[in-house]
Amino acid sequence: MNYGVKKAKNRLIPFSSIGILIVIAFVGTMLGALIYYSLPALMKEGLLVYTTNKWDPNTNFFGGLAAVYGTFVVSLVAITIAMLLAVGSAIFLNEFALGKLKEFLIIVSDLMVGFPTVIYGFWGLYVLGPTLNPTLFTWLHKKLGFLPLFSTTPIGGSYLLAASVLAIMITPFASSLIREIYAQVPEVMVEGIYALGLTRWDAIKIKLSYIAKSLIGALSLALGRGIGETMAVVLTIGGALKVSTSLLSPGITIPSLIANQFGSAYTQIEQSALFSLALLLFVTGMSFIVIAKLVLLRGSLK
Amino acid sequence: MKKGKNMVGNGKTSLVVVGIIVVIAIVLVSAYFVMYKSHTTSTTTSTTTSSLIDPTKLSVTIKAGGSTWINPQMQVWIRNFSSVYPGILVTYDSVGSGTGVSRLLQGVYLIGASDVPMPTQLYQNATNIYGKIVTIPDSVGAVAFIYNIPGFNGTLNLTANILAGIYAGKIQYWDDPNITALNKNFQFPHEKIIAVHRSDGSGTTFTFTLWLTKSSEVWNSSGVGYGYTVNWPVDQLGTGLGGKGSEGVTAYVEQNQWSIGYVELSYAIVNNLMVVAVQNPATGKFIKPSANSIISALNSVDLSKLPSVLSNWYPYAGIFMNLNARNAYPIVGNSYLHAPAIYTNCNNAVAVYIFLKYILIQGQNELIKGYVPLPSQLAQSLANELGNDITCNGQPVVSLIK
Repeated sequence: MNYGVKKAKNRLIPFSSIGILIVIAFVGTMLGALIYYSLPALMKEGLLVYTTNKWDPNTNFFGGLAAVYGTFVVSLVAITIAMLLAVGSAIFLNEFALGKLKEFLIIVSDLMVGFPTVIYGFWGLYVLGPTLNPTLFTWLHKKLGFLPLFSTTPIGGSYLLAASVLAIMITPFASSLIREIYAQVPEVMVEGIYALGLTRWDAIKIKLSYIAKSLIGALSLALGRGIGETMAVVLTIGGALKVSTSLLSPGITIPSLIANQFGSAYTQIEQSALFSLALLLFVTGMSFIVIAKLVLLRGSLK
Repeated sequence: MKKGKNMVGNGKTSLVVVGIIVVIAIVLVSAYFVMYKSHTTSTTTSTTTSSLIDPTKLSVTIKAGGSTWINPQMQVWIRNFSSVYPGILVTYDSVGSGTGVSRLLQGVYLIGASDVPMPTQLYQNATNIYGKIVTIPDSVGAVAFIYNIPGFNGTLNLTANILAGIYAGKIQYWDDPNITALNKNFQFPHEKIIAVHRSDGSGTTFTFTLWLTKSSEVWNSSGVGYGYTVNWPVDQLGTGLGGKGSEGVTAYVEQNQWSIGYVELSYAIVNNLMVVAVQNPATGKFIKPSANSIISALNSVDLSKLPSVLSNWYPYAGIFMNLNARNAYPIVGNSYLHAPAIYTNCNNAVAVYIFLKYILIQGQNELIKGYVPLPSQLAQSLANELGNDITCNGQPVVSLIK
């Protein structure tokens, strides 16, 4: 009996491994291609391609510091906003929304996960930007302008606007992950909490601390998804090659720089510099997902 | 036990399946590479050089691609062309000028369309690969400035030095004496100027910055230079902003009071945007861009100063700028088509020639709103040059056509 089960498992290996082997082959060739195409720029400019803020076809020198910095800032702000929204919506769906309402909200939220990102971009450019700039962003600048974070006047596209659009984009995804994790808190524990006479609010806090690790994992997964986002950011970031401490300043990210310049990159060095930025993004994005998976795994084994 | 046996069978089949998939994958990959190498030369019929070719009976595919700006117009040309020459199938990919030129050099395209003439280095690469290449302008456009100044009616007059000052970050406020001196009817407040530019590499940016380089000492002292993308000094001041495409620039200008931005004239015309009257350094006059103000500029072009179709056009970029003619708008640019000049496959040679000639002659009457035709004398002389300079096995293509 035992023998039979083992055998059956072995026989399934070739079938079940085809898909993953193909995926691994693709990822491998992609990484290989990125390294291959990055080499000319990395050999000519070295790490200056990441640490210089100058994108100049005139002198044939390409440094993407503004894009590296912008990617970091936008991701960090986006994940902070997304965390608040996603945890909030997960709690609401699990604790307060019931029956048909819960079902409906989950369908809407899942629908938003699959929306084309360019739609989010146009919505950000034509609706969210013109709404937030004269109101919230101007208020932030006026009241908190003494902080370097809000020291510039909002003029349309900015890190903060791009991060807001990105946050709204990844929230449904993060929320659906967190919803599932939250629902897995053992019933016994919940009963124990109420048996101790604690309030619902206490229960939520205890549950959140119980799933804290998985929460971080889920958010990192969502970030891994958002860090490479192109179209939504291109339309809302403001496309300025600039490193600024102010979140209200226009900037640029790696994917948006690639989308902006790839079609018009005449020289091999420019194309190669774009590839070396893509390589950095690939490696960063991948490490995020790997770390997230590790944390998630440890969290669920707890 | 019986079940177990089946499973053993499945295990073997699965190995076979894996094998088949691997084989298919290898075949597909190698087929791709073979196709990739050969698809520029794929034609269905071959002819000897002695017999004349009837272009209406050809059966050839010409792959072209590049500039996104010319794409809407190119689709019109291709549609009309195919009704005259149904056997010549032209495909056009709107992939961007740089990619269009790269793919021409790789042999993927026979015609590469670019908003900027092929840079000198690439022109040399192209002549190394193809022996000779031809370059022709295909349609003319201009750079127009749009603005958002609350309460301003009438015409905003600006010069090259003012525009250079704004984008170089040297003129930062609307009440700058340089601006107010030219626009006395309006009381400008002390508001910061928000300068919107393209965030993507574009021929519009190239034309604008090339014009600044030709016309403004303020721009030249800033050391920025010209290109399809430049490092805008105004960005570092926090008042520079980049929009993707003309629509992105327009959106930012509309959303920001006290802003200015530049777009292709065709976009400004189609969307009825208010445009700046720019001073033509050659005449000193302030001219608003329009199809008419471009045509009057083009009519004064000295054709003898234009390069031949076989030359490197890069040093001649900007030849339509600052022309000394009444009502001539100064910031006029054009897009280009590039193709190999020497062929061993005469069907390809004839098809490329017929298509380029179509664009230069009939095509100039089929322009959609916002695109401006080439001067007809220029177009005719370019078409004549093409007939002699595109060759197949040493013979001018014009002598091969029935």
